[in-house]
Amino acid sequence: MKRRIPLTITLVLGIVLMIQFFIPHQFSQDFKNTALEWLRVIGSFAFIIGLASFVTHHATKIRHKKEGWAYSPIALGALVIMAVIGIIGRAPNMSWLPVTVHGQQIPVFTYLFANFYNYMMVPLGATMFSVLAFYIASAAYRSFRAKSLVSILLLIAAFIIMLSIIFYNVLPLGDLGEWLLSVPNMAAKRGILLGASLGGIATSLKIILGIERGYIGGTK
Amino acid sequence: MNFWEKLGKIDRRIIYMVLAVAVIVPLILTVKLPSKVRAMPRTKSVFDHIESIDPNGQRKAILLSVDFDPQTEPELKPQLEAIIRHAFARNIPLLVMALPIQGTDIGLDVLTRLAEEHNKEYGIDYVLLGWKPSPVAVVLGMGNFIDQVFPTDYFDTPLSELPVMEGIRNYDNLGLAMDFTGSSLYGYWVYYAHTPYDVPVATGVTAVSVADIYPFLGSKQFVGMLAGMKAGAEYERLAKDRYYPNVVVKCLGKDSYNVTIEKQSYDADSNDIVSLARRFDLNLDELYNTLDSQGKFEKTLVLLEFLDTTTYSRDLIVRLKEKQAYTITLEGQKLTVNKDKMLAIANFYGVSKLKVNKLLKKEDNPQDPKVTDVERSIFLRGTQALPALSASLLIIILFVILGNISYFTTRRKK
Repeated sequence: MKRRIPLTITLVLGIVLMIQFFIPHQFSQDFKNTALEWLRVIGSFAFIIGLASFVTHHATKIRHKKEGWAYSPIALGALVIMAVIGIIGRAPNMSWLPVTVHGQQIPVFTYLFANFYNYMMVPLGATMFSVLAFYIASAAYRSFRAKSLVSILLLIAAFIIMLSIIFYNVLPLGDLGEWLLSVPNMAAKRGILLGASLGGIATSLKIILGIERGYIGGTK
Repeated sequence: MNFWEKLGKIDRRIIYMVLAVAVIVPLILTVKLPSKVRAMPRTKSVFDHIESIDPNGQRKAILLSVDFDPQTEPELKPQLEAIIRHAFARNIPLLVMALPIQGTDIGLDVLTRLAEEHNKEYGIDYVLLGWKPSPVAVVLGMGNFIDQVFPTDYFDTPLSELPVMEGIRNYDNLGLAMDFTGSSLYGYWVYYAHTPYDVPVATGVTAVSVADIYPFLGSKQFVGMLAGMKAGAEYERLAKDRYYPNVVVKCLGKDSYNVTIEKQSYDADSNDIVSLARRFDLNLDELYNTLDSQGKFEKTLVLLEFLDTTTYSRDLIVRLKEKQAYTITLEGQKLTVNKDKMLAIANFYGVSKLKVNKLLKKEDNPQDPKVTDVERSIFLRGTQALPALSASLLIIILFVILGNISYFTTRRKK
């Protein structure tokens, strides 16, 4: 029963929503709207599951003193601080403890939330992403070798694309780069996309028909 | 170890250092850019599409979805800002939302800043819808009714109370829906907005995603694409060339100017005007057209004092201060520069000089309060970062070439 109910819901809703797409009748549209509202509500629960998973993962790491456990209290602390500040700061009529910024009175929690975001999360995130450029430069220098015909083609294509970005205004390389992207690249990508989409349709059908049961924890 | 072998074993810290210098130096120095930028077709088509939206005809809005977080902000924020500025310049109603929650803060920050520059008012010219969970449900649901998905805006004001939402119910009332993302969220807008509802969609993505978007461009599912920081810079220049062709763009370095605007009323006799016009190559035909039957008219002086004022413009300012007061328009544009627009332009483009080439009859109230010492603190984000991007790509190419030379020379010797 524990498995039959979700499998039945998936089968019925999968088929009904597929058919609904082709029926413009008002009843069909209303049904779709209701389904979308349900989807949004259910989507919100994903955050509760994500939060529980995050806390459990880090609590386990701390309890068993696993490698790198010292970072877990920081992660949990950051979660609690941002959540508390964010929730209190967004509460209605939350105007006590005002801070004066550029001559304007701002509630302290709103001020703290904005500052934590702008001066901690933004630079930390940007730094993490920026570091990639350094790794790419170093890795390309060490391993991007024209050893075979395929790697020579890859190297030439990469050079043309990079040079077309730099010199798009002044050299015909810009047009060549554009051609590479819009003809050979698009042909290959379209093939991959079609293959992946057909695979996606097949998997969806398997889920709807109950053949693929990974989402409910296995095939038994 | 000979020279060629050493060339193939450069310490990675040296590579990091060279790349860091290549990125930082162009950011610090003010680099002169070409006078015209040839935008890539995929960028130009987004620009052309927004140009084709008629704000005075059937009311159509632009919906922007800020679907990125701080990690990809350096690449995507210039694109977002350029599109918002274009929409504001054309007075197109703007709706901003986010599929991931981090996007709301980025959207709020950009909107607040640019609205101030362009003198736009929240709720009248633009709205921040905020964020709702479950992206598929959000994108699909807005096709029916936007206010069903977002009953209130980010600040909990019901959408029905906001004038900007007047006549805008769903995708039928959008001229364009555009998504800015560092992930594959652009797919949702193709699958769940364009395909079922036929709304024109475009996307702004990071440079690494460019190749993935081409199938959608080829099939015209996307009207265009902005790719990476380069596209942000291209779009900034397209908007500049279209709306403010004579404004000089400044990059980083000197990003703080004082803008002083004074307004005066003055009765001039035509000889004074003509002599001044000749002195500064002003358009005489336009000038004569503006004179009324008594040979007198009111004028407004819009005066810009920049930290690096050239001799020419300093002279012009002195002459105008002594003699006359005019309303000034930019060459080739039907844009009367009044106090607000001049502020917006000065803030927007970081102007260092303006070429005065037309005179129009004064329309402003001469009794307007004097506005002085307005601090400018904005620059063209993409344009300013473009030289650093080019330098870093050149360095990567250089190191790949060096690595290959070393590899093949060493192998041949063995």
